[in-house]
Amino acid sequence: MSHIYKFRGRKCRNFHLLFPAAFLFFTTQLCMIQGGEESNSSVSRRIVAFKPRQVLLAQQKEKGKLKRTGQTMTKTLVKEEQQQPETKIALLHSVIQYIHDKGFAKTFKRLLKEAQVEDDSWKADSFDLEEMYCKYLDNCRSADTDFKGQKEQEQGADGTMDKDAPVETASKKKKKKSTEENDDAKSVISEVKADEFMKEPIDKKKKKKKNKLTSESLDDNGKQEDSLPKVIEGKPESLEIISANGNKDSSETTKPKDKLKKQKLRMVSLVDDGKGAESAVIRNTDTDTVDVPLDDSKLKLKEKKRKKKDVSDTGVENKGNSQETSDNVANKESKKRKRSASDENKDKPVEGAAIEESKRRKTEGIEEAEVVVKQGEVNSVLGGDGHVGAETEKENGDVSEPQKQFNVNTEGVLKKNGVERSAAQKSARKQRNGSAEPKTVNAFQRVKVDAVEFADERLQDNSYWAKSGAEIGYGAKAQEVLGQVKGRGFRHEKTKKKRGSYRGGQIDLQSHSVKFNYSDNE
Amino acid sequence: MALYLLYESASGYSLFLAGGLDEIGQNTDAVRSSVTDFNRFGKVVQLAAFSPFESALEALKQCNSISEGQMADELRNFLEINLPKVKEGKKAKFILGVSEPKLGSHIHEETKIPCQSNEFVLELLRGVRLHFDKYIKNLKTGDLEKAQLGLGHSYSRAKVKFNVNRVDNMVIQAIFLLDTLDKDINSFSMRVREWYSWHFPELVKIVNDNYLYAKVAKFVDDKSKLAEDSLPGLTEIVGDEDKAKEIIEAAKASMGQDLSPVDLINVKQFAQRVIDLAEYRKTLYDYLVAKMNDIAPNLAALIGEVVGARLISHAGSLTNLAKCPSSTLQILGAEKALFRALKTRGNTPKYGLIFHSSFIGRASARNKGRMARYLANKCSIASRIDCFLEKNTNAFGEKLREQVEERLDFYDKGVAPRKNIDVMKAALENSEKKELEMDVDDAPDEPSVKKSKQKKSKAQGAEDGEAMEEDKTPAVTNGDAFDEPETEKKKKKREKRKLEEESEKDRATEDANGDNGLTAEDGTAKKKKKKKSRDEDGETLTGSSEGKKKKKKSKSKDNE
Amino acid sequence: MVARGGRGGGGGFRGGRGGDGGRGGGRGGGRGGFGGRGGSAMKRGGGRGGGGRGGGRGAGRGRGGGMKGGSRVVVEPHRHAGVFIAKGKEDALVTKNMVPGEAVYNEKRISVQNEDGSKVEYRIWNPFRSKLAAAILGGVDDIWIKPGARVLYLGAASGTTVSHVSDVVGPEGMVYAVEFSHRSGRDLVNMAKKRTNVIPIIEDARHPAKYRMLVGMVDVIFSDVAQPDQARILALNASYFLKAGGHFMISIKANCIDSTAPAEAVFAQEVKKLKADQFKPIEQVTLEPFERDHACVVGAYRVPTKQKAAAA
Repeated sequence: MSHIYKFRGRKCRNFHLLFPAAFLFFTTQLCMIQGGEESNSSVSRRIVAFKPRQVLLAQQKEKGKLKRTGQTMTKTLVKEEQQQPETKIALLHSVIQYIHDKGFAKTFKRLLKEAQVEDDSWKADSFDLEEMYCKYLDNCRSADTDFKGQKEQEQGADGTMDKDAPVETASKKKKKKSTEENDDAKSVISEVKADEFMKEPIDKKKKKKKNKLTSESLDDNGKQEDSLPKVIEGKPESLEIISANGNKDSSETTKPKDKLKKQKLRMVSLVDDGKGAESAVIRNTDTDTVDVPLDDSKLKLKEKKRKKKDVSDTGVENKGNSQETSDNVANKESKKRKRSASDENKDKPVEGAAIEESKRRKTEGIEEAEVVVKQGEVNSVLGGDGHVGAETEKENGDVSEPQKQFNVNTEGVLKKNGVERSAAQKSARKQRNGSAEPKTVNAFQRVKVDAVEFADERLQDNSYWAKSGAEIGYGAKAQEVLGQVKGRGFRHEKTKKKRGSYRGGQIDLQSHSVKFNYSDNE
Repeated sequence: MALYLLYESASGYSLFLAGGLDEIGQNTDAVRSSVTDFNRFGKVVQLAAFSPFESALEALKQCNSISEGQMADELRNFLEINLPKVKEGKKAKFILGVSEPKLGSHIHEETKIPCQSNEFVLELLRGVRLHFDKYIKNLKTGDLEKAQLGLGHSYSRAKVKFNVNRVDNMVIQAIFLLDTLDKDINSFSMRVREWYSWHFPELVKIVNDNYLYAKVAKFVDDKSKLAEDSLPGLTEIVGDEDKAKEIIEAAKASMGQDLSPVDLINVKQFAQRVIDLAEYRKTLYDYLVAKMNDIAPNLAALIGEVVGARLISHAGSLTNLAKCPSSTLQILGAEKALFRALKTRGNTPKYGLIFHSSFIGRASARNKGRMARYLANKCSIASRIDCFLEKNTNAFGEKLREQVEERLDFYDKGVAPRKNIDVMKAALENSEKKELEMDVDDAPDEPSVKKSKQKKSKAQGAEDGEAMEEDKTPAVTNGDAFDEPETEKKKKKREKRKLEEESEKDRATEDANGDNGLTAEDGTAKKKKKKKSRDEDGETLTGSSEGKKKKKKSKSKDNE
Repeated sequence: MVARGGRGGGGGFRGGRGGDGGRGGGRGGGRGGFGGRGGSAMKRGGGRGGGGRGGGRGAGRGRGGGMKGGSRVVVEPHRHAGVFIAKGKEDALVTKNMVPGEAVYNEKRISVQNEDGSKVEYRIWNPFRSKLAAAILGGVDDIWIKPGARVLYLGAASGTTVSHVSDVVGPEGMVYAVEFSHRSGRDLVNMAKKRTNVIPIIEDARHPAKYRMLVGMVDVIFSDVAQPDQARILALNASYFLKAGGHFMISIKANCIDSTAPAEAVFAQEVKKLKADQFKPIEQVTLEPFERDHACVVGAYRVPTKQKAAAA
């Protein structure tokens, strides 16, 4: 082939580059076809789960969703509403009210139009989102302190859970999931959900997940506050349950502890700063990276998730990844899996890679409890997660996006599949997530930044311009070029300078170094 | 308790006696302060014994064992002679201070000498190192440094397996000398012709070749003395009986003037000089071929020794050649044309020195550029393999050459060439096979390691017309791998040919490649290549000799 | 044409110097003959043996910024002994070439004619390739490497900076160049063949005991090893070979010690480590913009304290 390329000269040089693109396109087409045929089976779910991003986008386009704005959200929201009228509409109305209150006129009008809501009908069953949010925050904070004390138990429980009682944990998780719908205060999931919900900052943009959540919670409007304490209660209960399951393996304790810390950290952080999902994700990953490597499985899993996070392209790739992950999940314990399983059941178009990535990101730091997940479920979970993730990306500046998504996904799972995910598991994960503390065990560092004392103030800045005589120095011209770039760019610029033709003007003979002072005693 | 200090230097081993020091009482600070001043230090530490190394080789050996922390025999002898005897069963009354605990433990194991290497000892050794040259009276200033330099070089070279044979400098020098020689021989030959023509003008037209002319001139000497009985001799020189007859005829009817005996002697001497030079050039060429196969076998296998040597010399070194991109290699040697074209936005040249390999000549006009590019790519690969591959094999060069041939065929007839990956796989296998064979008869490395060479007839022919004679000389070598031990030459086994002429090993061994080849013998090992290209030898010979002249012209132009 | 124009960047060539580069490339052995052309302070491009075609062209291309081939420059001594400045429209740091007519790494050379007619050649010292040059241009107070000094150079690599140090210390001084890598070691040995004041030592700098036979007492240690334990390496070598009252120069690469900590903290910690090892750091200078997150610390070893001096 190369000969042929050569033959045709340089024109065909780029031919080989077309291959992957063509391949991708082909696969996406395939996925699309398959997705279209079987819409409701688990197989389709799986395939849908692995739909490449392009496909999903295309589908969205077909459905007329062009913009990644609240409009899209609105439309999907509308769809959702039709499916779950009561809850959705209530949430929708509350959002409408919020927007109206905040004075976003254009958005308000648009939303009304798109949601096909008659004027003033929204005032009927809307509730104050801000209030809910504040209450949620309060509850969350108080809940966190409880969690920390129970961290250890959980950790131990989780670790042992991994090995000892898969079934038990599975059932627990399922139990947890079943409580999603605010049934059982003991359900960790509901607690988790509530936690997630609490963490959500009220945002003007509508999110399906949020919608679901609020709609659900709206079912028992007044129950919200109740549910929160219930949830809090549920958490300790679930913790106890978990701890009851296994206090055997001590070796695992540290690891679960770390996980729990991480989760707590995450929950806290998610609550505290109202930044975007990215920051939450980043925090997640930070804590993840800091984490002491756990099981190989866990580590692998995490690494895979991290990797997936980094990869932001083709659905094909993600497909492979998710399959891998799902394998791992099936083998190892992971609450992530469970959570993702719960997330799965959305019938919203799966976005593919990004979604899966973000999902993984979310679940990364979460303590892994051993979960036996069906392959299909896992896949669909992942798909659902991916989808969620995509939505995350779409939306701007949502802190608790991941959490919301989890919530939404959770609901979706319950509603669509009818499969009982181990809600308990998920909520347990959430719990630990929320109760995770900042990592105190750091990676090996040769230099302890805190312990460093500078002999001279000028030594605190190693940059060129901070040096005396910088403007007239021989390197001034070079600094203007090299100071702009970092990493690869710096290496490239420096290679150019190495050619030897650089001249920086006059060489000044003065001394510009920082002298160390010694008293006579030294 | 007497404290002796063992100090190893590049010049030899030395033993010092640190008297007058109470070890327990001394702290390192006090020692330090006393170290700087030689007067004080000299009183504390005296030289007990010093044994210089006998030769550089021995010094290297000692250095190696010291670096490993082992005690060599010479060190052991030195210690046992110069230290008081350690009686069996009794505790020694002295301690030997060494720099390295590992060495100390080894010494103790072997000789029961108690060794120590604490901070105190190290401080004292610092002092010894500082003042060492003052202690050893025989050592003049600078001797120690020279010893260190020599020892450092040999130690480092041994470490990097600095193979003197694989130095590409020789090739660069040789190729330059070759060119210079050619020019000189040419001008001298012209001079001989002119000079002798005063006496025998017709000879110029009869004998065209410079070398032959000189030989004939030397043989004929005075044309009046030329008779029929010298016909056999003349025939032997010119190789053609008719020509010899012609010469004799012309001599009789010549209109040239007579020369006095003195003049004739001078001409004769000069002719002799030319003949010697021409023969020297031949040996130099063989030397070059041998060296090329030593340092860059793949490049030599691909494009020939001479073109390869020219490329290397033009680039400056084999490493430089390997570093430059293949597009550069393609137009190495055509810089003038290149920059002129770049400046005037014309067409840049398609080939430089590469042109003189046969492949370009064999390609049709349309494909010359393509072949040049392809060949340059393969040359780049070959040069990189040569530069960076540790083992010395020309398997890759041969395979690359086959690929170029296939490419040529493809352009000519459309025969699809093999896939590169297959060819390279085969090359790898070949190289491993060869390595195995060579390992079987591994010979000790010697300064003049020779290898069997492949002779590229076309490349050879490219050099000069006289090369035809070289072709005919029985190329020898090779020899079976199992003859190795005798010859100490590295051999390569070619798959295709099993031309196994027994090398005249004695000749070969005498004829060191490292020599200047002053011995007129042609004992260098050569191998003739049976290739289809053999048929094209005739064309390529002429083509390449023309090319050579062009090269010379261009070079001379560049010189201006 | 576009495609061809990209080849080699020969467009940068001006003034018909193409032949120069080519010629320079073609005559490796004969370069000496061309060396003393014209006698004025003229720049010569290319390297030893032509330095490769790229080198020849590169030299030509590189002519910019006032140092065109044939331009006049004046060479003046720097504040540091043995180092010079070539002043023209723009300055350059140079050292006197101990092996006139040859470049070590294809650097440019300047030929100057003295009043008495003799020619002196200087080699340009590139601060982007050499940390010592970067330190000098950064304004270090004293490099302690002067003519006649004995220098132990740890981390010699292929010998590009070592060659300049060898130029500075001159024939009376000695440079012990330690390098562990075999590939660079070959280049180092090759370079040392030409310069008799350089002793190549292919050995691990972490074990100075292994090459103690090859090194005498030195005045200065220059360390450019880029290892996390470089302070310890320096201390070990100094305890063997550095005279009391000798000096050291160490180039600290923050990334290789701790890539997560800020560079300044790394430097401060290294300085602290050095202080604990009988070193007395005197000054620190940043190597920006020539290197990123590098600093050079210069100091003394086993400085005699006043009390000791009084007691002695």
